[in-house]
Parts: sequence; C-alpha cells; structure tokens
Amino acid sequence: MKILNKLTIKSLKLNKKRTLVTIIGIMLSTALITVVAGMITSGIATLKEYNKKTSGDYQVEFKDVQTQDLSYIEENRNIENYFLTSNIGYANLEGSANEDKPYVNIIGIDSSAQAKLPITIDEGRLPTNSSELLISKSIITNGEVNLQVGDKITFDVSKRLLEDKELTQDDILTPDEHLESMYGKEYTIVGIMERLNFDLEPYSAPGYTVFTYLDVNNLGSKANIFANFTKEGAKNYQEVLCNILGLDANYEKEHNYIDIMELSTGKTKDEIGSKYNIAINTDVLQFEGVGINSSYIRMLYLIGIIVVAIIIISSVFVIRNSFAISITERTRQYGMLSSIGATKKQIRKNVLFEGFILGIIGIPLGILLGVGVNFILSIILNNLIGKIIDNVTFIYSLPVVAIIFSIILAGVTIYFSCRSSARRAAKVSPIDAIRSNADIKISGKKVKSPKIIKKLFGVGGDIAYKNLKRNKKKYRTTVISLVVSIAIFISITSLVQYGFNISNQAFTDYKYNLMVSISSAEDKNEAFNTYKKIANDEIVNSYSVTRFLFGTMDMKDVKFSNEGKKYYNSMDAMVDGATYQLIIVSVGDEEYQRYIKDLGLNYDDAKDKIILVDDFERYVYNEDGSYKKYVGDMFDYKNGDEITFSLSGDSMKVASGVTTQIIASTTQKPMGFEASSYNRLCSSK
Amino acid sequence: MEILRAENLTKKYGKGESEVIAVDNVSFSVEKGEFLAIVGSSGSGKSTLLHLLGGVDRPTSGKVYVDGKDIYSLNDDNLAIFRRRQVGIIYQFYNLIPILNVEENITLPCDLDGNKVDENRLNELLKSLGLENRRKHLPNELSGGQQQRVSIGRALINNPAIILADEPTGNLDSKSSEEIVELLKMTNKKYKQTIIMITHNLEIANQADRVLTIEDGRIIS
Repeated sequence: MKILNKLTIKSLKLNKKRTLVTIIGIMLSTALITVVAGMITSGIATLKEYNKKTSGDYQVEFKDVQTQDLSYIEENRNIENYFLTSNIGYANLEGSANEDKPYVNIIGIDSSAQAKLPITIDEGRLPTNSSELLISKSIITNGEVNLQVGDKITFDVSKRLLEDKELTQDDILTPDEHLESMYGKEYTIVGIMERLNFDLEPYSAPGYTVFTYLDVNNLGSKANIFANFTKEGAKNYQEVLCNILGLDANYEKEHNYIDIMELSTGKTKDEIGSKYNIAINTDVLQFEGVGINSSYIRMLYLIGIIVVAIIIISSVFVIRNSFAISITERTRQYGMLSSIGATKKQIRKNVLFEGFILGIIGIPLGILLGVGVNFILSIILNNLIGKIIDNVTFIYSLPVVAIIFSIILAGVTIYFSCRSSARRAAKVSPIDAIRSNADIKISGKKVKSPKIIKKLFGVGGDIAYKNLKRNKKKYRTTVISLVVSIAIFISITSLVQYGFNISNQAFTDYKYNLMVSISSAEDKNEAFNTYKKIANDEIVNSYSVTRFLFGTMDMKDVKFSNEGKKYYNSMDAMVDGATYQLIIVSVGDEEYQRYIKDLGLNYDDAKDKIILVDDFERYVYNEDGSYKKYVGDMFDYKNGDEITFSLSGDSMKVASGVTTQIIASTTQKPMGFEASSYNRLCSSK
Repeated sequence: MEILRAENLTKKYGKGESEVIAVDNVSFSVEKGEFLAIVGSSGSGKSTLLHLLGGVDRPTSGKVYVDGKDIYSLNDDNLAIFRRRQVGIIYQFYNLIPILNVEENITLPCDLDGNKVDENRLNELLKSLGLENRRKHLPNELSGGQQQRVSIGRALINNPAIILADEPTGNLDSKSSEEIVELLKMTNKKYKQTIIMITHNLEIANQADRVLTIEDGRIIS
C-alpha cells in the first residue's frame, strides 16, 4: 500500500472518535436517502399492486374480438401478456328483486384470468370446469335471490337483443329488448365473490356477473382479450392501440388519440370506426409513467427529490465540517509532507482517499440501516394501513434501484464534502506548516471587539471574538452550519405544511363517512322514516339531517364587503332589480348544538337566530384564460345585525319579509357542508 | 564544481507599513561537497534564506540554481518533486510523522516518489545513524538526538544534491549536538554530501568548511 494511504488509515485509527462520528454521519445520510428512495419505490409498488388487485392486472381490454383475430393482438410485439374471457350469454334470474337487473351475465374465464381479474372470493372456490359457477354476492344482497354454494341452477343461456343488435353490459336495460334463447345448461354454484368493480360491471349493467370456467381451446366465436403492454408499448400506448384498432396512427394523430380516449370512456367502435371496443385500465396504466393522470406519481417523485436534495445538502455540510476539522488538525502534517516533496496532487488524492475509506465503511452500513428501517417501517405501515383499509399490504420490495441510487448519491455527497478540504490541504505551503498557522492569516488590521462583548462575556468572550474574527474559516463554517440547520428546519416544515395543504385541496376533509340523499320524495313521511332508521342504526355515531331553503334579497339591500362588491361589480350583477340568493341550511337540532359549541356560542342565545358562513373564494376568468381571484369576507354583517329576506322552497314562495338576527359570522361549516364553497345561513330549524 | 548558486535573492513579507525584508539581495554559491555554515542572530533571515534555497518558499525576486537548473521556474508540483529528489531538509524540531515508525519516516521521500526502497542503503544508513535497533520504534519512543538522527536519515535516503539543516542542534543537549555534528561531518566526508547548515552556535559553525554571517537579511562576511 502506498505510504500516504497507510498514513491516512493510521490517523483514522488514531482519531477513533472523529472517525466514528464521520462514519455515523455518512451512514445516516445514506440511510436517509435509502429510506426516502425506498419508501417511494415501495409506495409506488404498493399502489401498483393495489390497483392491479382492485382493477385487475391488465392495461387494456379489447372487447368481443373475433376468435380468428385474437392472434393478431396476442402476437403483437408491444403486448407483454394477456388473458381471455368470453361472454357466454345472458339468462333470466328468477326472482330478482332489482327490476333494473333481471339477468345474470355468464362470463367464461380461463385460469390466468382467474388470477389476474380483481376477484375476491367470499365463500367457496373458483370454477374448474365449464359447468361450475362463481356468482356475485350482489345476487343475494341486491337481487335478494337466495343462492348458496352447492346449489344447482339451470340457466336458459340467451343472447340479449334489441331488434337485431346484440346488447352488452354497457347497454342499460331497455323495455324493447328481448332474450333469444340459445341452449339450456345446468350449473353448480361453487363459490360466491364480492361484487366486481364498476369498470367490469357498470352500475347500470342489467346482469349480475357470474363466472364459469373457460376452456381456451374451445372458445366461441368471440372473446375479450385483456392485455398488458410491454414497457416500450406502454410508452406509446396510443400509437399501439391505433395500430391494433385499425386507426391510422400517422394521419391526424391527435384526433385519433382523442378517439381512443372516447372509445375507452363510452363511445362505441362504430362511432369511431375502430375494429373493437376497448376499455383502458388507467389505474394500472398510469404506473408505467405514461399515465393519463400520473400527476400523483409525479408529485410523489417531486417530493422525494426535494427531500433527498435537502438531505444531501445538509449531509454535505455535516460531513464537510468533519473533514475540515480533520484537515485543520493535520495541517502541519500536510505541510511537512509537502516540504519533503509530496506534490499537491498526492495530498489532494490523500484527502479524497480518506473520504473513500470512510465511504467504504459508512455507505454499506447506511444501506443496511436504511433497508432495515424500510423493513420496519413497512411492518408498521402494514399494521396501520391494515387497520384502516382491508386487503392492502404495503409491499416491501428490496429497493435495488433505490440502493444503487443511494450509493451514487452518497458517494457524490462525500466527494463534494471532502473536495474543498482536499484543495485546502493541497494549498498548505510547507512554510505555513512549519509554523502551523495556515488558518490564521494576520491581516495587519486590528481586530477590535465591541465593548458589549467584553461586558457580557468578560475576557473569555473578548478572546473568543478575536479568535473568530481572525480565524475566518472557522467562523464561516460555524455560521454556515447554523444557517443551514435553520434553513433545513424551515424548508422541511414548510414542505410538510405544503403537502398537507395540497392533500387537503385534493381530498377535502369530510367529517362524515356516508351521505344519503333522498331527492323529491313523493311521500315526505317515508323519507323521514328512512332518515330516522339510518340515524338510529347502532353503527351511526353522529349524524345531521340537512335541508335547505332559498332566501332572496334585493341585491342593493345586501351588505357586501368591499371585496364582495368588487366581485359582483365585475360580474355586472349590481344592477337595479337584481336579487341575491341566500341558501338557508337547517342541520337539525343535534348537529346545531354541536356546531354552536364548536363556535363557542351559547345555545340559548343562538337557538332562534342564524349563523352566517362567510367563506368566499371566486375566480373570474377573462377570455385569454387569465383570471382574477376574489377571496376573503363577502359580507359586511356584524354580529347582532338583522337581515330580512323572502323564503322560498322548491320553486315556490314560502314567506316574505322574514327578519332574523345574525348571531355570528364564521368560516367554519357544519357537518355535511364541508366541501361547499357557497355562503350559507345556518339555523337549527 | 558549483552545485548551488543564489542570485540576488530577496524575500519580503507583508505590505506597506508592515513590510519586512527577510532576505535582502543575497548572492553566493556553494561547491559540490562543501560543508557551509550560515550564522546569524535570531530574526536575521537565515531560516528564510534556507527555505528559499530548499525550494520550500518562493522568493519575491532573484533566482536559485541547483546543478545549473533554475528551480523556481518549476511549477508547484515539479518543485515538490525536485524537493524530494534533490533536497534533504533537517529541521530543528525534527518534523517526523508521529504515527510512522523510524523506518517508515526515513523511507517516506522514497515512497512518495513511488520508488522501491533500496534495502542496502536503508540498512547502511540505519547502521551509520546508530538506529539499527530502533527500526520499529515510533518517534515519541526516541530521545531528541535519536529523532534528529531519524530526520537526517530521511534527508539522506534519496541521495539528494544538497542537505539543508535548519539549526539541527538547536533543541538538543551538548552531547547529542556533538553527535549530530559529527554525523553531518561524517556524511559530508563519506558520501561527498553538500551540506548547508544554519546555526547560531559559533563553535559548531567553525567545524564547517566555510562560514557565512548574515544580518538583517544580508551577508556581511
């Protein structure tokens, strides 16, 4: 081994404490990078797996493909894998209580389809031959037909026809359609599954899905093919689809791409001129990075990058400091080496070698630590998520890419940390070393310490101040360290805050889990009884029954704030004869009491009065797409002000000239109206 | 034969009011195999002069020729290489590397050059320095005299053109001092080694072939 490297190793061994601290620093920064990168990859893998589980492991479905054409799709070089299902036919479901769903839709699935479709078996097992049946649980719960595992049932397998056109699950039940019987067949029910998701069985589908086994060697005339693209294919999935669907990929490209979207969201092949109907499974496709809506994933990556950048910057400072100290302590040694003929390059290399040695020890330890932490975190997360959402496991995948990424980043971090120290060590002139004062350059200028320092800290403070002033480098390092740690603290907290704000915007924090809305109930009593039934159910913790009326006022009678006036002026709404419509919400006594308490008011004071919810954010768009934002209070009512308006219910006037008192103005909303941006008046009745 | 020549060497420190002229327009030359002593009081500029001669510190103006070559025309890295091959420096405070043992300290210039250490030369040196039994000792396990002998060994290992000794006996008792001077004289005779030694001890200086006296940065005799 070269003598200089030997020297480094010896001095590292000698300064055990500092070496240890530096290694721990490197270890922690590597571990942090690994954890962040690992959690992101695991998170994405989890989402991917979750979506595959809930929406099925396919990216696109081609519907009703002629059997002889299947190979064209199967053998397409952009298709990675596929599975088949076959629409066997419809049959009447005797005794279905749901008049919109009088049928069962019999679908044959092969064994790979059984594994890849999002099937959750409730009871029993999957069918293994073409006379066994797996039925949807909603036949029992929704259709109220009492079928059980082991039952035998005979279906009159038929075509669903409207005139001559064959109908599918995408077509809702029409009065004019009829079934054309093909053959009768006896099935044995071997399993019951959860209702399929709405992509596979739309809400409006007239048949409950039942699965039987499909022998791929004995397909009918048509089959549905569910395919995953290759990585390359997923990137250009629109082009690939154009080719398969017989749409010219080059001619009017943009137009065809829109066609594909429309085809997937409801238009039929005949409207577009495509060979097949398709359904794109966006939940799964978006994870190939080409997503139609992959902004969540981009966001995840962006946050990851910001966090990693913060870690790297802070690590650079921490590790750099430790190198700087190590070099300062050995200034004399470097000068001496220089005096006996070590070149700058040799010395620089030597410091980098020190970084290399520390990295060789610190990085693998950091990776191990990071992987361990990831593993523990995934266990914790699994316990947490498992309690919140069923059937979700946080996937712990050994993040190989993340590890390589961490190693590179940690290496870069160390390199940048010790580069400046290496330069500084190389710059030490032998003469400075012999005198050992490289860090203190006597400028000739007098360093005066302010009197206050001497007064506050005595002679010690005076010396410390002069020391800092004369030894600029140390001074700078200390100040930079402080600045960096404060900056990191601020940036992390604001990042977290920002994240919360974004997620709050995306997922408004509803206070309720379930909303039941009965509109235009013919029998008011029946509606009331239904509400009562729900409210009294033992699983209901709290509820509010909300109703609303409209209140109209003359625009000129409304006390608007300046911002409110500006907004309505910009809308040209402040004209004579214009009316302003208030929404008067009643939330029921129970919720009203809770709401009043939250606002810090006394129920007795507030019970016959109203609360003004004044939370206002409006955008007025110009023709060029720019907009002006109006935000803040819309009204200028003070607590205790009276307000007069006419009440109207469903398109009829109930009362005019109602006067009531505003007890409070707030931005807080009662349960049931959290997401609403309209201004409301709330009362108990 | 002339091995070293200084021409109008000047070294200034600082600027303006605080300017100090440490070496003031010094010119002289040294013959190969000569043992030269430079004497002068503290602050007379003799150490600075030595550093200029050894290629350790760049002069403000003037030139130094070693073996006919202008050493300050070299860049920093080449100057460092020149130092390790052509110059052996002995310091008052030894400047040994505390975590390297005797043998490693002596062979350091060789190792820096990436050359294989000539075992015969090392053994011979250790023998003549009286350090055969101290090979694996660390500097702090040695006496001052012994440490200085190690630094002489380090100066000699690469067979340099000149040895520069900066008060080699300044930190030693009289017995050790004598030993060191004897050693230097011995290497001067045995290896025809050119030696330039700084001292303020006239008794030691008088054992040299020639004595230069320096005061206020100038040679006065």
